[in-house]
Amino acid sequence: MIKRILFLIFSIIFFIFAFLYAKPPEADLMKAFINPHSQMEKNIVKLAGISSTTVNVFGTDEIPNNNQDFSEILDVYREYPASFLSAHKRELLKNRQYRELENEALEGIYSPLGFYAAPIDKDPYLLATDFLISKNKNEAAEFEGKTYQLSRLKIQNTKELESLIEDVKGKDIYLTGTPVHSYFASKKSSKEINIICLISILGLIVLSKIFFHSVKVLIPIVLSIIFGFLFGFSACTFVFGKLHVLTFVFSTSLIGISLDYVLHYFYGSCSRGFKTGLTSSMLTTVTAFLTLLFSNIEVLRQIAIFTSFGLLGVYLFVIFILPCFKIPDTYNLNWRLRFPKKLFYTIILAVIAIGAFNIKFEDNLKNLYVPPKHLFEAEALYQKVFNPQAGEFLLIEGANLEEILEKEESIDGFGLSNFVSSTKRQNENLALVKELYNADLALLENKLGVKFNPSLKLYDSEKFPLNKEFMLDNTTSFVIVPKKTAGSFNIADEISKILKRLRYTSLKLLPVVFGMLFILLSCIYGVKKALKISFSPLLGVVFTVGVLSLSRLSLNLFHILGLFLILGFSLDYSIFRLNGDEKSNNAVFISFVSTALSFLLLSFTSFKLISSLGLTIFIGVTVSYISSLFMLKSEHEKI
Amino acid sequence: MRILFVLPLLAAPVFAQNLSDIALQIPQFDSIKCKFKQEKQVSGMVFKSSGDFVFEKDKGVIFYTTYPVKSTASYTTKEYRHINNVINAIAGKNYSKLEKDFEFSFDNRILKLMPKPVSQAYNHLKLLEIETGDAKINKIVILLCDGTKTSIWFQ
Repeated sequence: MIKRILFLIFSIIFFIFAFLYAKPPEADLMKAFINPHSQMEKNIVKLAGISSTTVNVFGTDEIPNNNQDFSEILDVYREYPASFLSAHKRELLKNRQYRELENEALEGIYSPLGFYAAPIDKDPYLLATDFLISKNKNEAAEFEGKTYQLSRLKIQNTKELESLIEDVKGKDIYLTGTPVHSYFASKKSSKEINIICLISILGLIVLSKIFFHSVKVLIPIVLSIIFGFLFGFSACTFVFGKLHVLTFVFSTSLIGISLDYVLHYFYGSCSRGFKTGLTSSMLTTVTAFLTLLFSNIEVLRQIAIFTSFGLLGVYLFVIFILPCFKIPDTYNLNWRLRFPKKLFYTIILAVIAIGAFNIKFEDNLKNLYVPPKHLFEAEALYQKVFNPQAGEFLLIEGANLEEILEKEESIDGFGLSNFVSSTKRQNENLALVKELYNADLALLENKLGVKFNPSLKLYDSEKFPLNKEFMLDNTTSFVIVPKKTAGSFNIADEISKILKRLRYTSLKLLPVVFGMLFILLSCIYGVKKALKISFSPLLGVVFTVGVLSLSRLSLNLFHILGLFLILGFSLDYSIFRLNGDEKSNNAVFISFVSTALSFLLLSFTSFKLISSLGLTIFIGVTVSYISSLFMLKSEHEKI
Repeated sequence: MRILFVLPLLAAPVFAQNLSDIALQIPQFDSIKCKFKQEKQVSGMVFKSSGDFVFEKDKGVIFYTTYPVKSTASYTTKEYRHINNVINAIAGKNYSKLEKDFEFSFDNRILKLMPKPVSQAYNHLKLLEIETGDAKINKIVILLCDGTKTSIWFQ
């Protein structure tokens, strides 16, 4: 009793500290997989982050207001009008086309609806105004007789995006860009996950009714799952600080395994080998998951800690707390698999053999996500109407901002230098403008009958408000270039390369994990039994690869991650089947049915990453379980 | 990331008080060609000009300045869609289209439009006054936040 109380007190303190230490979960998908290996990868993560906050709003109706505050930037142009010149004005000044400059100034001054970026007396040739207007190109375009307006909005949070979506509802306005896709994908996913949870719970209730004649059994089951989840969460929080939302998604496997342990307790706690079976099952599964720590994939490392400690928590809960609960009456399902063993293995081997010749891998980020129809059409229209730049990025490195700006100014692209000029360029501009004033200002003053007091000040570009938008760090900025050039790259392609590297790493890790588990099982059960236990999970993994390949599905990183979880689940089936009695087999059966059902439902979700995982695990655990029925006869079945 | 677009801001959408009352008192305007005179007060200086004005319903407006310089300011293209929307809404008495971003009042044949804080025009445009005649606009006054005041008379 004292042990139980101490255990509970320790656990509660552990959970409280974890909650105090916990930070809001990380939702950036990139950060789940990329633990940047190089400065380049760090930059790609940052660039992906930048693009993930911009929404393109376009359409023929009035587009919503851009609430961004540009007053700080406007102040710069107002105060330093001669430092920033459009390409057009610079050309005129270089060619000393002062008449042309004067005419343009007069047109601007007398324009009825004209505006002035800087006061006319400080900027008589309206240089700042012209510079500002030159930045406002391509925000409107004609397509099929209609005029489309475009606005690019920075979205800070979901609330802002929801408000924007509400604003454009029913209008001829379209939204494109990463935040919109993420929003609709996550909204649809959460709806689907809710349906899946509901069906899973109903399934669990039906199973409880059939096997325990009562749903009260769900109380210790749910408590054990919560306890395991809190244990895993707390340990993971102390190790990583900030957890990724995908860690929570992947750690749902903990629910299945927690269920296993509790069911085995109900069915086999009185049997001799129960504790040994439970302990070895826990150790092997924990070892399988801990191996993921070596993967260098952030989310896998988090899953390793979350699930391992979660399992340890459930194990301790079963040992210390479950004895407080009354063991419910159990129903034994007496059935034997009638399917011919030879035919089963022939089919399995045939699928594996044919599948082996058809294995294809898919790392292209674009193919891992299929947008909803309305977003796909909006993206297609955006491409047709505005023909945006292909998204080739070029990193500019320099010892300081001045060097970076000078380099950018020699490149045709869209970057920081479009908004602020280097000191060198500003000095050139000021010299050109000074020449203009010396040669023409008096004439303009005479024409207008006024006296000007122009400003010729140099601006400190280090203070420019947009610097942080384009600088990745103190020595690197990015420029979007119109076409592929030496050193340029496409973010989606780079992410695909990273996914490929991660897939390779995961694939290489899989046999290592399996080997370690085999060694551990050999130590506990001896080599012969270890071979028997390992066979079905291995078959499940290999068959899954075969059947996916045969179905012409290209394997992606998430299929590979699913293979790890197959090992974790199906090893338990084998261990308990080998060590337990007839009752224990029922527990394995219920456990298998509930797990397979959950992942089968998951395979129907629209989010390809999650459905890949669901399908992989469903196929793997099903084959592994059936194989274990043929391969492993528990002691009572041999009699 | 793209930087502001001030021209459209000057003519962003608008809002109204007692819309139906005001609508009754203002005539609907058709396409028109006439002379205009303009006086612009900016940075303590005054610039006077004059020329021909053309308003084509559903297309926009064109100012042909003939004095003291010859120039054409055409607000008929897609870049000036916001301006045209405002002009067409006023000309066609579709004030409801303007009510989101402007407050307005009507007194002594002068329609006053003031941008609301939610409007894109709020930081740039202070006041737009439209003096109406029997079937045409007599005068427009545009007062910007930086103090620039443009008065245009139509003859």
